[in-house]
Amino acid sequence: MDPNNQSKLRLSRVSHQYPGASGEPLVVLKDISLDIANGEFVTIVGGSGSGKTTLLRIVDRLIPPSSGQVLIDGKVVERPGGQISFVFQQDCLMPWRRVLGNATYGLDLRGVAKSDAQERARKYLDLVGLSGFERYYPHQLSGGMRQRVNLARALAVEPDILLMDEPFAALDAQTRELMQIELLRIWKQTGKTILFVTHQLDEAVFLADRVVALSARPGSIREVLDIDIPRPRDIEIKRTTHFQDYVSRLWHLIEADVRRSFRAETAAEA
Amino acid sequence: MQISEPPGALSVATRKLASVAVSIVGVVIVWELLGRYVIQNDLIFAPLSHIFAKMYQMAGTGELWRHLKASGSAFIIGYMSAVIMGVGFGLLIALRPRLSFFMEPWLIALYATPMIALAPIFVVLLGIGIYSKIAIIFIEAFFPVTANAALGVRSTSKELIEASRSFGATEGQVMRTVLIPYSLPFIIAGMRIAVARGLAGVVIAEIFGSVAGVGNMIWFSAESYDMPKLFSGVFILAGTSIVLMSTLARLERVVAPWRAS
Ligand SMILES: Nc1ncnc2c1ncn2[C@@H]1O[C@H](COP(=O)(O)OP(=O)(O)OP(=O)(O)O)[C@@H](O)[C@H]1O
Ligand SMILES: [Mg+2]
Repeated sequence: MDPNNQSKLRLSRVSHQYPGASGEPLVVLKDISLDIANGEFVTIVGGSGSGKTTLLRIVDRLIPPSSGQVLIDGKVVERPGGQISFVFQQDCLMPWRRVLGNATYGLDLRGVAKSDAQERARKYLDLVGLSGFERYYPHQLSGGMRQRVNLARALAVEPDILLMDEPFAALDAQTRELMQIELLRIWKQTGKTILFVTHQLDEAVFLADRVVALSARPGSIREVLDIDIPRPRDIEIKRTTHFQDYVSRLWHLIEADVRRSFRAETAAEA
Repeated sequence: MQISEPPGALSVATRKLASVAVSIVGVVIVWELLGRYVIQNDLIFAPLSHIFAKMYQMAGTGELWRHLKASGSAFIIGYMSAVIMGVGFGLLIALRPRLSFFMEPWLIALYATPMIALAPIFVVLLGIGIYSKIAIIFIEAFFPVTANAALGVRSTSKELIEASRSFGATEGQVMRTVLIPYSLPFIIAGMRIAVARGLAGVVIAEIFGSVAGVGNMIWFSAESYDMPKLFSGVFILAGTSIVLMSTLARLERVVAPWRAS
């Protein structure tokens, strides 16, 4: 192990393959190496099927990588539920728990006393702007509110690292922009390290310190783009040419792959 | 910011209740009129007033209580143990696919065989009385609960399970905090089917072997064309079924509020 290892999260030569349907293994990720510093906000973009969700599941230890290593603070993590929280692509709240009960879920599993768990959950519900909705059921909330509960649930266990898998994909454009600003505020307030997957290139640029562009399957790192836009950022910066340059550079990086996978998908449907 | 309780659906519920009341009152009137003025043959029909008079009289002599006790105790024991064991067994076969391969053909065969064909076997094996009744009611009620509990576990959203694991849940915690709550509405649906099948089991068991019971009362009064008594038995079964079914429906709304809307 490298003694002067500064990175919070280190992926070293992570590859993954699934047992394919036809017997032929499906290689999804190839040789992903990445160092993420403590408190850094990194976004990942890549076409559909490039292995983004798989990568996050590996980092969270929901599945072991076929090869390679994931180190957190220089150590291999054995099982999920430690310093990492996952905010999933679909909103997967427990429909039988109220907002408060969902927010305490991770704490309940860890045996935190009920009153302490509720106090902490309330703090994070407040942080995501949901105080007053504690007694609602998920089905009584809008999509944006459900994603906020999802975020509060992930924050309540006070992880160092947040993995977010297209958390705003199902939201309308206005709500999404609002959530992006909220997320930056929460990130600034809590100092988490965030690894955030998105399809939306402008979202990737707006949020990130660095954007990782993945190639089409098998996903490998095509390029890592440093985003030199001062913070705090507001929505206005999305209209500057500086911002637009980043977006078009990203688009050029992944355009060919996206077109190829689009053709492959439409061909498969035909 | 102050926010009131989540919105309910009270007016819809009230309106539904009103339609049910109108429907019941209508049928009561038509039945009474039919019995009094149209079908005046008391070998095939009886007006409601005669049926309730009969029940009142049987309650007075203690006969009604004797029948209720005989059927009720068998039903409660058979049904409750079927629910408990059905849930346990259903979870087990859903979590251990290998076991389910062994068991499933037999489960399906037993589920599909009409109880009326099996009942005499139980009466011969266990004798006339409460044991054969319990066995028949148990078998009727066990399968729908088992099948539905297994279905509930198998259809639990993979995303929810993964979310739970990601928070560090152990297998037992996944079961307790995801699989079981998710399966509860399925289990309750199975329990509702089990009510209907279990009550049918009471009647079937009592054709073949019984000295008392609501089913026994129905069969004997049918043989002697005592229509008020026969309908009394039918009403008791129907009433029990309605009460249990609606209690379970209410329970489902409590444990699965998201399914209501
Ligand atoms: N459990 C699995 N078993 C087999 N194949 C899988 C499994 N999960 C994903 N795959 C395959 O792996 C590839 C990558 O999937 P993944 O979900 O990681 O992609 P993604 O980049 O997140 O895509 P999207 O942008 O559509 O969410 C896909 O081709 C998918 O079909
Ligand atoms: Mg994905």
